[in-house]
Amino acid sequence: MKKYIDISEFPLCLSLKENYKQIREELCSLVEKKYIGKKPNNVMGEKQKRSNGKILYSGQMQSSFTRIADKSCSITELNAIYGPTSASRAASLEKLKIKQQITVTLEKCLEPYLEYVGSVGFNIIDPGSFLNQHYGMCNDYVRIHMGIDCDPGAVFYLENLPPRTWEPAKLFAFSDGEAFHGTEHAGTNPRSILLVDIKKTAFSYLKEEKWP
Amino acid sequence: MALIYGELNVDVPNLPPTEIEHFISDTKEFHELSIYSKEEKVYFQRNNRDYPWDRRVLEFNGKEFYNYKSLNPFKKIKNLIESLPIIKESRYVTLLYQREQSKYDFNFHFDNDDPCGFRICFNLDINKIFLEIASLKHEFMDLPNGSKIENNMVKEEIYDVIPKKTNTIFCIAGKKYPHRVPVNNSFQRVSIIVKGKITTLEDLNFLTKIEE
Repeated sequence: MKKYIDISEFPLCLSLKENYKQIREELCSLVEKKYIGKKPNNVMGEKQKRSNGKILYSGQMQSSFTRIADKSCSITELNAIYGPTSASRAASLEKLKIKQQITVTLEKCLEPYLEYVGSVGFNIIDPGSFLNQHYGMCNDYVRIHMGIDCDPGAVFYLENLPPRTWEPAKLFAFSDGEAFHGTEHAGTNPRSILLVDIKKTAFSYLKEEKWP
Repeated sequence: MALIYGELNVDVPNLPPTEIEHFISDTKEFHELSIYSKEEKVYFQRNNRDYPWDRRVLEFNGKEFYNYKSLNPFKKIKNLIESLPIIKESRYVTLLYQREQSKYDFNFHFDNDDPCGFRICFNLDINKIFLEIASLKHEFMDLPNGSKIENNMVKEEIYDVIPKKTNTIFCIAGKKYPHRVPVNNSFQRVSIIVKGKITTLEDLNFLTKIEE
């Protein structure tokens, strides 16, 4: 019944926790500078088993990614992120660099692990929002969540386990492409989290033959 | 005449405690992470000691957790749960497991802050009082949900619930009648609480009942 992955011994997690306050301030800076927007597509893609064609979310859901692993995105998402031309792609990559300069503490935490790092970003959902349970696009990554601003009414669903909440500076992780997951926000305040994708090969010390 | 409580005339199969113990052990981590472990935390805050029972929420608003109905200990009672007159979308099911322990005082309370519902019970002693039920005094009738009920808030007249069968189902229906477990009734047993919007109690066949 192991659906959450124990990441407590992974050193990145410790540095994310230790730098929680600065990372939270960096999220605030991204929001102030309007480097945040609605998730670009709202229909789950064909690679997302059991979810294909379903609406991904309802309500207000915003994100700001500072790093993007193309394989974690659908074609629709990639088109929305990079645009149709090489010039628009270059502009988007430049924008990612600017966001990495704003999130300097987060980048310092990630630096020793860059060969394993996939997509990295923040996600904010408002009360009344719902993210349908879904699978991520790619099986290569463990997705780490760290609570930034939390609300006891915002809950995370993983497979058929009872819902749990996020807590500030606390982390949990799961296999994004293999675990059916979603979110419901029945609380009163916006909930924000940090998302970090790390290649499963970085966790070889766990000696899992098959990922949950 | 309104029903306060009754024992149903229904055959209930045996549930092996070892299977329940395994389930409790397998799901410990997930329960503690989940939003449903709040009851234990509130109990600890109020009483400064651990919750005396192992508790697992198996279903909430008709959403099943842990695939519990497909697991051995619960397969046998799946149909019993389905047969109770509760609207499925509102149904919540909680497992309570009591290891034999020293005496404790659980005080008067409502399960899940909701006064009405069913208790499927296993391994009861038919010579002992299983529950004591008392009416709230008039001045405490409008207590907010979740309030701690002190012994002086209930009337002196106490209804004793003595089971007719070792494995049985009780219907607890008195809206202003909290219950408590007698302090000398701390032997090993299993209860499954099934609650939600009750359709009708008229079609139930009772062995015994008390009405007001």
